[in-house]
Amino acid sequence: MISTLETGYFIWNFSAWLKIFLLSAGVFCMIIFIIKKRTGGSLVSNKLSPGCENGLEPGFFERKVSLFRIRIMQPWFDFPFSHILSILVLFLLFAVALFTKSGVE
Amino acid sequence: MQNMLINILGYFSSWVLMLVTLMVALFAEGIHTYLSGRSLGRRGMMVSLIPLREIFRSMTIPISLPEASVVRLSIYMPCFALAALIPIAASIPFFSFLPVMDNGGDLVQILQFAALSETLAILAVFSLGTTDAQITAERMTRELVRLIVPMMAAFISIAFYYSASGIEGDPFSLNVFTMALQMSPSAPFSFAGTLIFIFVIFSQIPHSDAGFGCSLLENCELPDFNGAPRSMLQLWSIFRAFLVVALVTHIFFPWAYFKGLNAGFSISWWAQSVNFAAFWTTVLLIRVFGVTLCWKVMDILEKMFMIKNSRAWLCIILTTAATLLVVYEGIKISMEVAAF
Repeated sequence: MISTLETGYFIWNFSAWLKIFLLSAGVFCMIIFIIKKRTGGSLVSNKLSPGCENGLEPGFFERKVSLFRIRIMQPWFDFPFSHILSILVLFLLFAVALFTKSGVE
Repeated sequence: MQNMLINILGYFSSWVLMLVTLMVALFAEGIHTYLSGRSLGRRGMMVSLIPLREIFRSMTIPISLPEASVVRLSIYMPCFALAALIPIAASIPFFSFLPVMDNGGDLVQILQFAALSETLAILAVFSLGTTDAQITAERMTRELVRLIVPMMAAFISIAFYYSASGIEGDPFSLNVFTMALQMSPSAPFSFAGTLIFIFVIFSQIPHSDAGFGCSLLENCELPDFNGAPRSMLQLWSIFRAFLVVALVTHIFFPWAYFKGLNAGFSISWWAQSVNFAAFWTTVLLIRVFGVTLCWKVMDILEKMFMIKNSRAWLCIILTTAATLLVVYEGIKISMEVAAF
């Protein structure tokens, strides 16, 4: 597995970053899980529309997708900042292209 | 097999060391909130709870979430946001004595992890699903843009300056940034630009004006979101602010006076200890006094400019001015080299 990317200017050690990130995420999630087990019981569940009008309950996957779309994705698109974020991404790509001299002999 | 075990042990121990070093962030935050609480108290404002105590207290109470929340995301997303900060800590040599990153951190990659961490935290707040949460998340996005744009501009223009002045190696590597030592008063434009960059970055570190320091949420904010995930987000905010300070301090620390940096274990233990103590003391002082001073100066400047969105305008104008100054010095040097 290629774990280090060297492109002249950039030397990115992917595997080291990923290992540290995953180790940290695992440990923190475990801490929260243990705390939840010990103190839990009063979690408010998201009972959205228990029993739909037509008696047609959306399936598990459909519900998750619509939740993700409405609660997570839609607010980002509604943002007045979405164009600024796009410009930021383009700026980053520009910097990468500039310093890696891609296309320049 | 034995190698793998040793690797895992190495990673785990350096990881624990990093967490221990991050405790300096809590210490700095404690001092800051104590001092600001006293000054607010003198002005007749009551700061009833010490934020740090509140953070650790809410770790032990049952988790509660708003009814509209996406439960699993709201609970576990703060963990991932906090975890994405740890690789940034790993790229700063003094966070752990073990060399985790081979070539030091790459500043562009550090910014990517910072953006990832912020995005995960914003998603965690969005997943609560209430109108208040949305307002908080929008505020966080504005703060993210204000903090990350000056940092990107600073790293890229200073890297350009370094490559124009003929530095060896990757100009985005933290080691090159740290050891280049080319930001001297003999190059006045880049020196002024760098100082403006430092001011803008420090002044844009998200903070509360009501005595809550760098905590993400104030006491009355999102009251129906409580328990360990809330504490995680609060800790994330404090660590993020501290990491920005540590990173900027590491880049501009006068290492010439502290010999032996990055010399590995070949230098004497006392020299390493002196370096360690000097660096973290500087970070602590800058976090408690320097950053607060930048916040105050920015507030004063903001009040002087009587226009709408004066803070955003100030941030844009100062960042542009600093970029132009640093790039101008780079172009000047490369023209001199070409003429020579």
